[in-house]
Amino acid sequence: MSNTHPPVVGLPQALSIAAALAWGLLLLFSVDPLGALPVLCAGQLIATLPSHAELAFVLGWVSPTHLAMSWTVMLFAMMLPAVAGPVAHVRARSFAHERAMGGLGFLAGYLGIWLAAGAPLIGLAIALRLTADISWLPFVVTLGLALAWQMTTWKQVALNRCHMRYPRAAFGSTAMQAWLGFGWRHGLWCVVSCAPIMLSALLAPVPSYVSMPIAALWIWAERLEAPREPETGFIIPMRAFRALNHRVTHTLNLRSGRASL
Amino acid sequence: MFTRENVYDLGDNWADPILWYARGVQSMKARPLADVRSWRFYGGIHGHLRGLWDLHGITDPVEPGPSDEDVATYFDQCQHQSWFFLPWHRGYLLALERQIRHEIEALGGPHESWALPYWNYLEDGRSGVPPAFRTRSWPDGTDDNPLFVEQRWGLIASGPSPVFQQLVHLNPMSDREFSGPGNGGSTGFGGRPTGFNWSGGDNGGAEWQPHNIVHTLVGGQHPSAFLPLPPPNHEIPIPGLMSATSTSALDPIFYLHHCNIDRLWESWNRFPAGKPAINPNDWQNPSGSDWRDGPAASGDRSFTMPNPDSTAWVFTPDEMQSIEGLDYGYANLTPGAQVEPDNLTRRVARLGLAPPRTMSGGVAMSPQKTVEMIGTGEGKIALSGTAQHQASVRLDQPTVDRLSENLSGAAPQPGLPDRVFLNLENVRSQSDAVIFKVYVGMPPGTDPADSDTYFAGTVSLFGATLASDPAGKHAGNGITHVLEVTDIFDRLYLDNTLESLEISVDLVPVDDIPAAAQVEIGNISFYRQSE
Repeated sequence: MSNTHPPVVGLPQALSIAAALAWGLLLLFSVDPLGALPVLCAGQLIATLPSHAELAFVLGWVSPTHLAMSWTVMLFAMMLPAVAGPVAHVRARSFAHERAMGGLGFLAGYLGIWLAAGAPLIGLAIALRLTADISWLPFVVTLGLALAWQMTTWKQVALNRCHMRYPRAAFGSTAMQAWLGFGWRHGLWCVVSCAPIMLSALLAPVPSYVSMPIAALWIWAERLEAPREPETGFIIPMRAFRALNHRVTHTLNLRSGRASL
Repeated sequence: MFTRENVYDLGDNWADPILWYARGVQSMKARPLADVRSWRFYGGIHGHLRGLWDLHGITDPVEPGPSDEDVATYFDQCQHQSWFFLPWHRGYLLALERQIRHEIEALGGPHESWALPYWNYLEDGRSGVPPAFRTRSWPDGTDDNPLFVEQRWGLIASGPSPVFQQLVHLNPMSDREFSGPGNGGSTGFGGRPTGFNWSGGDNGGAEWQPHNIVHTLVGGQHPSAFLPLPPPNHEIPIPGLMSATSTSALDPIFYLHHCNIDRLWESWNRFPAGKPAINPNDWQNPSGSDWRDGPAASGDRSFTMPNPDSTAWVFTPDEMQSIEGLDYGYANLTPGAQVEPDNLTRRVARLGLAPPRTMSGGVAMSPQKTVEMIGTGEGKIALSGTAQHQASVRLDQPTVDRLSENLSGAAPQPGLPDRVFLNLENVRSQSDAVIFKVYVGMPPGTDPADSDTYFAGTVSLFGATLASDPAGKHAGNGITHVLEVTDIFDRLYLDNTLESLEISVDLVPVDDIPAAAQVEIGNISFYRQSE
């Protein structure tokens, strides 16, 4: 049998499953009623910090390992669905027997950049949280900055770059390097585009199962918008909503049509 | 019923349909740009770039444009590199005809029967822009013929060209599918699924040939002048009106060209009656709501045209499906050049395979199509000047083995023979007026002029400039051209050339490509597609 037949679970489906598992972990660990499980959301961990504690106490309270682990789970949940398009591109531009490795190479580059961005982002979130007397103030300030960033032309430039697709032009390890490079370039523009949103989500004084889905939905909806000429102004990404609305209306019309027959 | 006639069969260069078209265009041209019923507004519906319009003298830099609301509703709508290419342009033609009829009525002319003629450039001796469009004068000698456009610098702008038949063909008419699987494989006759897509992506078959190439052959580019720009471009070639999506619909010949494209769509659907089909969907338009409902199904803007009373007309591809249902017909659906709807029978004979079952002999449903890359090139290729450029594409042994197994009929699950496609990926350019020929597997030292056997097709870069803009609506990814090279690969297989795992691709410019055009091909690759 030809090995070109699609596997039962391809990489795009695996991305969705991995993201769903990560969301499950975040939810499970944040609503544990007995408090027996460690919180697995970096934002929620930061929100629980005392405002004037010593750094040593802080690191005892939330260890760097714990923060890194929670950041990784957050990235899987929030960012994997946003890269379905580029991963599909990598697979289409790879030989059949290299598709999985190509996709993984892209993901390694992409997630590598986001994991590296975690250090300054979480560090900044902790610093803001520790220097503020009012627990919700850092969130309000960073949310304001994120909204201001949304209105800049640079934000749109970064979003447009997230739609770039690169051709593949080599065999073997050189091709893998190319996909790794595509991944980190894509990740870099993704960080530039989304870091302010992620920072404010980290500082949100609400449970992670509220703040993270809101941030993720916004990021996914933005990614579904077509590229556009960068202009100053606030753009609400409504394309996904309109498409969903169209499908719901279409389905309801079909059902009412069948019912009237 | 409105009948669109062949412009060369009207009996006179200034026969009534042309004369009244000219009068209608003149009336529309007299209106200000901001008027939704003006000629320039209609041009803007297809695409607009005010700086280029000002440069060509079409607009004065101080002339007020349409309102922001009208721009958002109507401008920059043309659908390219999309499965909406055909239905959007059909609606666009209908809207313009209604407006022209409105003008004809005001002038006391035959508004109840008038329809645009079509220009079938594929007929012998008719490849030149029709005579009434090439003269500055009306039949009475008055010197302001509105059908004349100065900015036509292409090879067929002033009459038929001997090279036309080498550059233009109807091979996509043989593709039985409206929309192919893409991802390196066929894009189909009508193009790949997209949302609202103004520019960028993969060309559909009809868009590639003959649509794009005729645009470029009419428009061309200014023979010597360049448009100065700030770095990094410094200067770029100045395209003729028909060569750029943002100016093409300002040329009155645009609409006759698109009537022919629309006629070819109707011909692909229905001509000749009873042409062989392998699957039930062959020669049919897409049936899903994603296509029928248009880009609104993807959450994008709707297709909207102005009515003669300045109200808005919103339409969907579903409403454009039947030309008869729209009360239109064509005088002749014969394509105008050779179209072989049954390449399959010829292929199986050549390859020595068992004859395929067709719809009449029992439905031979194909399994879901599989597309996979066979080989890839060495990356970016810059193209300039007149010199032939040769690239080498390295093939992947396991994939070639699967292809050979399929073509030999020895595959474990034998089906129809695979098709093979050449991809010119992410083609970017600062000029749309570039044409080059593509040859595959041509032996070294062979003169392309004697190499029809290896000729894969002609590529026009119509639309490439917009698609190359990183700040544009396609993020600067350029256009990917997908050319079917199945016949060539059959020969390479039968000659055992595939065993070398190295296939040459020769790119031969038709005319001098200025360095300022910055033509760049991201990569060259081959794909096999199971049937």
